[in-house]
Amino acid sequence: MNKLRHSLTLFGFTGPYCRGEMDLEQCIAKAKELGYDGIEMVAAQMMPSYPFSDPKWNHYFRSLCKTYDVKPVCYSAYIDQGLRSDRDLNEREILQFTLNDLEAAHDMGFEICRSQFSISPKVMERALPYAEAYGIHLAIEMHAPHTPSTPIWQEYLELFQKKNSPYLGIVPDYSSFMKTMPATYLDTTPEGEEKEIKKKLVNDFNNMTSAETLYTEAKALGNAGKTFVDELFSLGHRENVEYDGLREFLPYTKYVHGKYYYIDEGLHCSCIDFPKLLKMLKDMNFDGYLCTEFEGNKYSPHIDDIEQIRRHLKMTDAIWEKL
Amino acid sequence: MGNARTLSTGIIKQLYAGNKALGYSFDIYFDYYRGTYLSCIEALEVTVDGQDIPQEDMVFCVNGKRFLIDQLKDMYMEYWFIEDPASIIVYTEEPLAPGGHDVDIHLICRVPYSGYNGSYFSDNIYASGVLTLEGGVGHE
Repeated sequence: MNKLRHSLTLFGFTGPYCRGEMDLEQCIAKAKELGYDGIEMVAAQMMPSYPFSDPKWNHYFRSLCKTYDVKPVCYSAYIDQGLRSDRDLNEREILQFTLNDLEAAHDMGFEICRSQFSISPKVMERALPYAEAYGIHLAIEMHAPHTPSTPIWQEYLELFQKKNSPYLGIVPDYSSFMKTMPATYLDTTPEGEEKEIKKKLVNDFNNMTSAETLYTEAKALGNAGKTFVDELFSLGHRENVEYDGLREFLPYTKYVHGKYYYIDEGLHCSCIDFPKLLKMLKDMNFDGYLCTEFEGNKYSPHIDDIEQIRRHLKMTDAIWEKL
Repeated sequence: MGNARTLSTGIIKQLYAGNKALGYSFDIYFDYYRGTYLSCIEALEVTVDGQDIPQEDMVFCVNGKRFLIDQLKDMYMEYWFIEDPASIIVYTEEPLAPGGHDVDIHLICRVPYSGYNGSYFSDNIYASGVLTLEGGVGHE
């Protein structure tokens, strides 16, 4: 049985890194200490030469990975479409940024370049010969609020099917497949009557109460009630999680963002069905990487992120071994 | 994002041209989770000791280069990395008094990957600190 390979996105160390408490080397060392085989790096966050490739710095980066025996797996790129003040970037510009990213990723030893869906199918197709030449899997991330049925993703699926190349694909983020609201969703809401109403709404939402009933209940929050319930439905897909839609994209997937917001002491994540999602990977003989992407501080700023990272590793390994 | 790192050096420096007081400068970090292109800086307002600094008296320095504030919008290939401090020079012939100075910053930054066709989110970053004149008397 093949073991599940784990990658850690260094983005998980944003807090201490941006406060100057940890540098790149310490982030890489920590990833190794926590037991990860590979790492993901967000270039706009940690690469000083961004958006360009600097061979000297790239050499430094490769030497850090060698020192700590950690594989550079995924280079994460942004499509900074709005960077100019006068207009959006055009196709040629988006292609150039992508070529710069592919070159940097290759020089740093990465296998995967994760870009954003705003790259457009046309630019992705133009970039394919370069991705092939560099031997890099150019992938775009499917992330909430998108799901497989979002129209642009169907355009991408057609491209992937047409080209059928190992150098084009997607990184599915499990935020697109969230069933119910995370356990910590209301952690920053101050105690009081409003919180009690919201707690009941979230609980009822998680228990499949009809939309009609929820909107009626939400009137107790006044004008903010509808917005609150709208957001629940945009993030939590309940019985409508698009597992079949995801299955169509899995042949083009080498890297998965195992997004989560909270794992309890019993190693259970209530809002995302990891057993079901990991079974889908096992069934297709997935030999890529599952990335630990913890975003729980969004809802619970003081949570112990290192402990949450440890739980993700243990939970996903335990699930995989039982499959 | 918080503003803890923005003015974290705690220092302000007097600048001279020969013996003539030229102005002063202080370092500023971009306290965010990634860097920004200078062209994404939609506003940069600085207040020192309660006085709003006129835009044309300020120069923004990063990557070994200097930019007037109204040039920033055109600097779309200039990137301010989060580990690199930029600095702000304020030109004034009035020398800074010794001790601490209250500095307030307000930055508005467009998030360039957040939308399409010209409609993007902008983040407001506020930071305040007491910066002590380097070489002068002041508190920690």
